Amino acid sequence: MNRDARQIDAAPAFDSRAPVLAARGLTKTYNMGSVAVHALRGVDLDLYAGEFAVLLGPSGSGKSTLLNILGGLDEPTSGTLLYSGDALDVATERALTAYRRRHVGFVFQFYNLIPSLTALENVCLVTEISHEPMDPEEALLLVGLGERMHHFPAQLSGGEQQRVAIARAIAKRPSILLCDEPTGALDIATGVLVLEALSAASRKTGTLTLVITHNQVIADMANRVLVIADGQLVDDRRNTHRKEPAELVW
Amino acid sequence: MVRLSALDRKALRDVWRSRGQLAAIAAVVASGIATFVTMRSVLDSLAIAQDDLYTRQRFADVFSSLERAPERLVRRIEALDGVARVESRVVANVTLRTPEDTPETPRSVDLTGAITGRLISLPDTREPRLNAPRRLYGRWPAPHSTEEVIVNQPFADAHRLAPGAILTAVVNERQAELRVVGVAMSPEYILALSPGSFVPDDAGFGLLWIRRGALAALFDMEGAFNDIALTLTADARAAAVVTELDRLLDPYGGLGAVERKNQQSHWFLQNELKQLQSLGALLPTIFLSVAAFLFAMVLGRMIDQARGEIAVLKAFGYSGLEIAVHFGKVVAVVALIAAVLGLAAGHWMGSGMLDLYRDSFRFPHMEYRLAPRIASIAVGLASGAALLGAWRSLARAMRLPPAEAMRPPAPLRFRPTIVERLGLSRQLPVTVRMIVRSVERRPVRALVSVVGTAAGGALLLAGLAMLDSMDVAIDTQFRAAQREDMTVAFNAPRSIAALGDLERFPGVRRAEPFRAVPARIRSGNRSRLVSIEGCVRGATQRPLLDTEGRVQVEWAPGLSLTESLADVLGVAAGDAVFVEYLEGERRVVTETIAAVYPSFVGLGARMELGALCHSLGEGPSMNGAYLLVDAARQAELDTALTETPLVASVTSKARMLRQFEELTGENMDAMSFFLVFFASVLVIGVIYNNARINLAERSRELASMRVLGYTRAEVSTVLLGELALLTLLALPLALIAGRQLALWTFQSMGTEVFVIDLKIHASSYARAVLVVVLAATAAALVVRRRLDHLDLIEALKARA
Repeated sequence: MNRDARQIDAAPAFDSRAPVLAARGLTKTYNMGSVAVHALRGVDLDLYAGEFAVLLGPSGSGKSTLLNILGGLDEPTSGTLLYSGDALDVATERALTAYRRRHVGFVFQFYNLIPSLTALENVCLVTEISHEPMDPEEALLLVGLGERMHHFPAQLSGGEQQRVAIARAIAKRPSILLCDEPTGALDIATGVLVLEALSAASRKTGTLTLVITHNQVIADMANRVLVIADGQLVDDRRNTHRKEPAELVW
Repeated sequence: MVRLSALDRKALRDVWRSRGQLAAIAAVVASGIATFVTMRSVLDSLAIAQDDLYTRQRFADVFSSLERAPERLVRRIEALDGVARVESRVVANVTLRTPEDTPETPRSVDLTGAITGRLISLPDTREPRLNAPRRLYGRWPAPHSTEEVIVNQPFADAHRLAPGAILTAVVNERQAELRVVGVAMSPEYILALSPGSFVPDDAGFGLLWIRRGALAALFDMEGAFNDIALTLTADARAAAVVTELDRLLDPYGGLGAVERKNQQSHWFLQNELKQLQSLGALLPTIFLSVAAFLFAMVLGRMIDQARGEIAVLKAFGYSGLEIAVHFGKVVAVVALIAAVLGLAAGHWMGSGMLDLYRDSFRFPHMEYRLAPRIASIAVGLASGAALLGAWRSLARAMRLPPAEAMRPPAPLRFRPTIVERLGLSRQLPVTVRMIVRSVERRPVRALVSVVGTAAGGALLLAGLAMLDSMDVAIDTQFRAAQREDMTVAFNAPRSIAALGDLERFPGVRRAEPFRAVPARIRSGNRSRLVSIEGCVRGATQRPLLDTEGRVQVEWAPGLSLTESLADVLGVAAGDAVFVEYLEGERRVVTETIAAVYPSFVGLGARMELGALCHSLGEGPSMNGAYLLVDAARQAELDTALTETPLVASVTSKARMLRQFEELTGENMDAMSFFLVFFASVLVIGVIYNNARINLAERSRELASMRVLGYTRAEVSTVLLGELALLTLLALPLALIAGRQLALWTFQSMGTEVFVIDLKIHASSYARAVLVVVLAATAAALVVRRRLDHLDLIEALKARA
């Protein structure tokens, strides 16, 4: 393992005063031909262990860009980003891969399961390369899929596939769980099931969970709500009363 | 300027976008076309040159040599049913000295052993009716001239003989000076082999045409002939004429008539043409079949990807046919480019190959010719393979209902593989399961990849096997079977006492006599003309070998036959055959077959010398000897042999081997290069396309794995692991198929003249494996580079 990877490999600190992720002045500019698109225009953000945060914003607001940068999929144009004190904004591609591998769990809008692997194997895909993962079957039990772990994605409903994706994301015991529109492709009832799974997983593992969505209702189940518009954070509030996913209606 | 329609511009852009894959297919198609054009154009050029020479020089249909017959017999032969024209000749072998053979001027060519010359008579006052030499320059010998000769061009070139040069022939204890007046080529000697050799030797074997009167005087053949050639009428049955001719010539020492198809030079040429023909069919078939499958694979994928576009086009009112034609154009562009490239490469390789043939087949005029007919067939083949491959995909595009085309294709359904259902793979990592399932999910694609890759390896191995087998055969022949340094043949049988004379020649360390007798061996209605060779007991120079090339110590009493001869006659050891000796008293006897032995020289028979002479009704005699020679005194010996009237021809083994190596070395290098090249084209074309399609289909899943924290190397394992698995499966198939292909090719070659056993060196197996693995690795590396540039973010957005 190279030096960069080792740096980021430092044990995550669960001190509530030391943020897991700390962003300062993050900007991201895409050059689309002659036009420069400013996706992020200076974002300052601290995210702490155990938080369940929802990032709200309309299409094109920059929320996906922020998630990609926080997840180590993209690099900021300027600004700094620290993971447990280690700089991610200047990390090499290899170090970012190691960061994702050890510390980040992803849940995608379209699940991104591997069609040739069963539910259990999709989870194994991650546990096989993790240090101290959960038992893959346990992860699937956690999202309520104990019965269907030997089914292939094509044999599962959308909600079930997304729950497999959640099990896959939490099985490595990540420090950060990043969810990009996890209910975007689902109907309400199924969406609620998925959110319940997410909420349960987050509570049980104490993982920092960041859900991005344009669905305001989901914000009610978070303990922290962030709003992004036009590349800038415009609101950062804490919910005093968290609703259960089952109480959500949209 | 022609304005392309929007759809045509799209077709061109589609070609451009898939250029890597299409280029790989085009290379496979072009290789197929190139091999087709090469083989067929060379075949054509040789056949035209042959036809032209045969027609103009009136090449005969039936040939026979005999001891001596009176000229009046010609009338009776002319009267035979089916005979059109007859020409009698006198033909004799002599040893020659060239103007260079003087102490002051050393030979310009490296020439160990004496030069054998064959004197062939020309009618005294006219050109020959049959087998006329084609005069290239100089003039014909003057009528009734006693010393003027024309010589064959390769011999003249090798010794730089120009009109005016003087050659010395040793004939019946005196030396005859012969003046070169012209240079010619003959339809009978397109491939000129000296007696006892199987490699053309331009410098060591010369043909000399001399007026009949002069030659008859030298050999006491006035009013007589010892060689005859005839042509047949259109409705004649060659076999019947041969039988009749043999009957007529029998009292005059006839050595058995042969039809044109068995005439030596013609046989070699025909055999070569036959091989070109089968290769010209086999190689393009392999390449174009693989290409057709590749077209099917790539176009199928292209149409899958273009489902949305097809839907839109159909919604706009384009008909299914128009859409099929549109994608057909993509395929046609590739096929046409490939055809043009293949034609150009075929033209280049063909003219190069013909140049190599010029060294063995000596036609006076042979031009490389690529007939428009062959070119148009080539274009047809390329388009045919393309359309054959594309057909199903085009039909699918045509039938696709617009509404369905709008939706993404149904997700792939996977299930545990057979291996897993058998419970054998519980411990396999998931990446390995992905590989195995992907292969099982697309069995046809996997099969095509395996078969295509194996075809490349097989082609290479088969080619290497030919080279190896030839190498082993030649090595066995020259090292184990022919141990002598030189072979000396007498112009007539002598008492065995002549051996003592030979042993006293300078530089001769050992001499072993042989007695070669032409004979017809018959079993039932099958018969062959062969030379039965008698060797003394305890002879060491020409031992009988077993299949492993080991010396068989015991000479069983009776007649031993080569395996091919035994096969042809349908006999085995212990059987009896009729032997008609075509010499001396021309006895017909029954001989028991003592043994059957393997031999490179196909048709042959051996006997103990004493027994052979007894069978012939003679005392012990010899008509040649094998010599072991002191290399330091070689030149002295050469001169002595040349001056000995007893000796009709001298063959040096070292020289024959060198001739062989010179002739084949260049061919083998070229052949090795093209084999490796074509094998690589096949393997790369197949593996690269498989990988690219796989990558396109799975980029989202591979990108997801990258997001989940898999490294580039780990993700590559999934895709490249599949290629490795397919390549691994292809390797044993390649080796088995390559061996089979080589066997098949050997079987299609004429086996009565030479027998080559299939031998493959371990290094050739290794080389075939290495080339396949390297080519597959090269293709994989190109794809790996693309894998490194997967867009991770894009993969998350796109829907499955």
